[in-house]
Amino acid sequence: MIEPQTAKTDYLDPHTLATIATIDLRARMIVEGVMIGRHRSPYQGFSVEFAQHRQYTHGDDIRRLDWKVFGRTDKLYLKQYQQETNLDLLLLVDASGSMGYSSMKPAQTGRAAWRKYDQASTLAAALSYLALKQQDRVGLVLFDQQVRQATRTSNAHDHWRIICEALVAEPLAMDTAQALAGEPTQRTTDLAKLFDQITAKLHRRSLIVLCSDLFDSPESLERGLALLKFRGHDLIVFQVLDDAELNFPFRSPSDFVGLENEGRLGLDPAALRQAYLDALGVHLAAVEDQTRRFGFDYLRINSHESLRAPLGYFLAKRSAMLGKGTRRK
Amino acid sequence: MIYFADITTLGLTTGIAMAGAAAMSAPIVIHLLTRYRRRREAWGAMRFLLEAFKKHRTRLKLEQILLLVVRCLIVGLLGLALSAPMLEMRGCSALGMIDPIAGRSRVVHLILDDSLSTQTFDPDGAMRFEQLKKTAMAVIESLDETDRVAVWLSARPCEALLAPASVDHAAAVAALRDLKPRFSPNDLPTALVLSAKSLTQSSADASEQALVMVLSDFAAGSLALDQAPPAQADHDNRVSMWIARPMSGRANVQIQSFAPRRRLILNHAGASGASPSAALELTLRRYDNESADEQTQVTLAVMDQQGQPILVRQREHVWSAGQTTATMQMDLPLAANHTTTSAIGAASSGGRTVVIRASIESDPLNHTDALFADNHAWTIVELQSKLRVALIDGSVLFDRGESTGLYSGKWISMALTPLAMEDDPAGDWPVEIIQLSAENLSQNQLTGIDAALTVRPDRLGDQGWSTLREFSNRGGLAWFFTPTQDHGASAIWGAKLTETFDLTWRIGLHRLEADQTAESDSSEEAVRWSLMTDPDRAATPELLRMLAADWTSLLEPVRIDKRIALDVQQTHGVDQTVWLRLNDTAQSPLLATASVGDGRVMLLATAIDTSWTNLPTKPLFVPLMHETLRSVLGQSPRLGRLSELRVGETLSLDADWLGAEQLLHQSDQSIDSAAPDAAPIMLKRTEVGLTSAKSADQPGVYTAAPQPTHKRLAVNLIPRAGDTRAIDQTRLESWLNALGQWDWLDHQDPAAALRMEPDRLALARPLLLAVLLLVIVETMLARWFSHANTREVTTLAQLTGWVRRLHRTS
Repeated sequence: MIEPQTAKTDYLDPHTLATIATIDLRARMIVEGVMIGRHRSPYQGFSVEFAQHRQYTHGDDIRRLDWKVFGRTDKLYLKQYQQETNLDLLLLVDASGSMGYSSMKPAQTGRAAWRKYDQASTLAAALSYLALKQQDRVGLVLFDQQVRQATRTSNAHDHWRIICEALVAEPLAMDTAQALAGEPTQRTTDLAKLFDQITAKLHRRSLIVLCSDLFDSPESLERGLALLKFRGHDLIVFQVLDDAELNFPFRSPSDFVGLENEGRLGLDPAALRQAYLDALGVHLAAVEDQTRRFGFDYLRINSHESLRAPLGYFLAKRSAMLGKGTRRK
Repeated sequence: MIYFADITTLGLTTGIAMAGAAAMSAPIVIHLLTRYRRRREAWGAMRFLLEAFKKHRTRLKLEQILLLVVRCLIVGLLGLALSAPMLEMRGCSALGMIDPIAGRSRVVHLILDDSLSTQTFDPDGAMRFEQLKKTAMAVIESLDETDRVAVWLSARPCEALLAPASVDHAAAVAALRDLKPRFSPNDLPTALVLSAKSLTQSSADASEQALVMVLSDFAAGSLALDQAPPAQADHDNRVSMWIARPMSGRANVQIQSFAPRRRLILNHAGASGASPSAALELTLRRYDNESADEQTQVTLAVMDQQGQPILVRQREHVWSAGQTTATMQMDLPLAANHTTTSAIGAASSGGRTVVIRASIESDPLNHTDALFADNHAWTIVELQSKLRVALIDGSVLFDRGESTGLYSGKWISMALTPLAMEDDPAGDWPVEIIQLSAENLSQNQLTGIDAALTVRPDRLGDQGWSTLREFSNRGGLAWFFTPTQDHGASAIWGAKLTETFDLTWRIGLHRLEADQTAESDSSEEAVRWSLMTDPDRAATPELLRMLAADWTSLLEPVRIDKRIALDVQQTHGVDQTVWLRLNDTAQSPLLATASVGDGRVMLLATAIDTSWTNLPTKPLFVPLMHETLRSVLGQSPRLGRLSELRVGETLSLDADWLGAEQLLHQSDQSIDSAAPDAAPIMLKRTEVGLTSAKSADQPGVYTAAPQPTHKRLAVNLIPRAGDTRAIDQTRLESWLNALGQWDWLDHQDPAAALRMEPDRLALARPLLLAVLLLVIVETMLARWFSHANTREVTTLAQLTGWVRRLHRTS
């Protein structure tokens, strides 16, 4: 159900997205929001761009004859068009326990807590919608320390709905309330294992989009990235983090309960804030450094912020990839 | 050394200190509580939190402990500051370290003992009071110009010589210079209370340093150490107390008590022309001297209306070793001519009062008597020409009994006025008998009557009973005898007697006969009751001491045949005794007496009749009747009150004194007294008589004004005030400790206390400053440890903003 919105409503803002009930609707809103103001519509001109003429030979399809050239020169020439290639997009969405964290309370959103997983899955849905509209083939993998769920790579008309259903159906029931009730999950992240499983099944060079908080060891990430690089895949890393994880704004003494069964730690958070931020900073720097060292793209996403930046980043990346020679004659 | 001025008493300051100590544990309690009441927070990036925690665990613990210590210190020091401790830093000012009270003014309260004991002369011939005055003046003269001084006098009643405190030091010195000691005992507790109240009321300037100096000789009689000092005497912490050292004991002889055995004396010049005499009893007491063979010369003097001795008698007492108290009994003749010529003055009743003064010779060398003021005592006796006795009998002659004519009333009449019946019918005899009818007794008939002897109580009507009760209240003697006639009315008159006079006696309904109670004994003598003569078990009644020598021999011949049952139950607060008891198993009362109002009621449980008892025919009867009348009337409380008044106490006078407006002290030039001339004492009218507006401040004789009136009062010293022995210093120190912190004052250099005061530093302010510093340190530490980079940190600016918003909202 969509709440009545004003003209200025920003459908890329998580506070707004959280009020939208279904993920497919969220994705459409996002895509439309991103495309507003662009000169070229994503729905026009794809795969019919003129390239050159060549002489007719036997067996050619006479529907491609250029009758205007024949009228001027009495020679039969065929029109050849530049046909855009289909991009294979694989979306990897992290469904580990830590992705269930949210510092955005229901009171702030008006409906439900906005978890990191919500941010990641919405981003994935939007990207898949955008790609499918451009005839790209899209696949989805939900993972934690292993692949939890995967869809085939396809550009079929109804494939987007399948992806959305998979994103919604993923039993990431884990959230803060359950963690506080003493039911931590064992679902951690193992990127090296994930990339090993995925690359074994990918037979075409693909653009892989990873949406995760990357709460894994940098060594594991490095192994996974090396594998992808070796297989010739391209990768965009969207590291999704909650605003509280980035700023650690807690003041009153609290008991912190880990969402991935790390146990409980009682402390005065203000006293440990700087040390935490330092530790996190070191990790984030390592992740970004490793990603860029392998020539992949990296973007950190604050789950409280708009999705405009990652979507724009994706479109730019796609254009760049197609411009570098992925098109076929 | 740190002193807590009020820590030894459970006062308000101690309560605050205890609350402060309890509050000191608040940070720890809060710390422990927060451990169990933390908010739980689910957290995704736990690995980084754990990593940071492991790295900084030790530092965090140290920071927490440091903060906890600082917070505990803040609360603890705040509590300490509220208890206002004093730091003794003697010598620090001399060393130039600090001058803690530089610029502070002082208020000094001098409590000067001007009680009787300070009139004691020391071996050097100086009166102690002069030495105390000198000390007080030395203290005042050493004060700075801005210092204030108050002077309190601690003799009862305590009064202010200079209060509230003033900077007029010259006025204080001038007032002290002319000051004379008083005669009343010391009342230091009250003086301390007055001083404490005054200090509290004038404590607007908390920075003012307060000193209380108690200047007393601390003789044994100057302070009741068995009574704790009043709580109101406690001073707060800013007050320091200085106490003069107790002076050594001095030998002293005093008249402890002086009173006539009978205050009413019959001044009847009969045929013999013998003059009356006063039987006097005097008790001597000596302190700090138990040596043998020392002599004390006692002089008794009858005083005229101008206070001059007109008749003097001397007696000497030789002390034995270890003897401290001696009682002397003396007869002082009151010659009619002397009393007449002294113009003592006659009362409307025909009586007159005589003042008798007792003195002991002062020891000019002060070896045995260092205090002269307690060498004099005064008492008053009343002379009366006749005793008027009403004999209340039945009105019908044949109803009086015996055919021989010796009925009850006759026996009594014969005992009281034997000469009048035979030789002097005109009645020139000290006892005059007025015959009255029991049935028609009225108030007017008893006017001017001293005693009413009722032999027919069964004939009294309601009006008669109430008349006798009123008569007794006014000081008369109402004596009831058992009637010989028994018409079944004994139950009624017995009940009326106990009811009218509010007695707890039980009076039997029927007569008891001796032979009915001892039927088994064949001996005639054995069945008659005798009187108890055992001197141990039947002590001579106090009022009949004149007969003491012959008491046993007088009682032995008396036998009782019939009597009524009488049971006297002792009741608390009621003065009732049995003067004669039967020698039976139950020791049954025969003659019982009780005080009623200012008078007395008596009952003889047998009839004055030979068929009841042989008493009227025995030698005991006549002296018993006379002595009882004279003793009871002579010891009337009304008369006693005139000689039992004490210096320093408010005087209460009965209705006989109505008309007097003031009391004048009758100066006695023959006594060398340091006392100033006494001012008149104004009298106020009350419901029951008169009371003085202030207490009598000098011993001696007081006369009523305006004249003419013969009324006089004798005011004497309180003997305890003249106890010049050395006080028990250990007990004195304990007593003083209950007041708070104090120190001895040096008599030789009393101003040293003022010079030493700057060395005592009040710690409250430095402690508060330390608390403030710690609060700042705590804030900085808390910021540094925890909130340095937190945006939500509560800064001073934020706090100011909140206050402003709150102000706007309100």
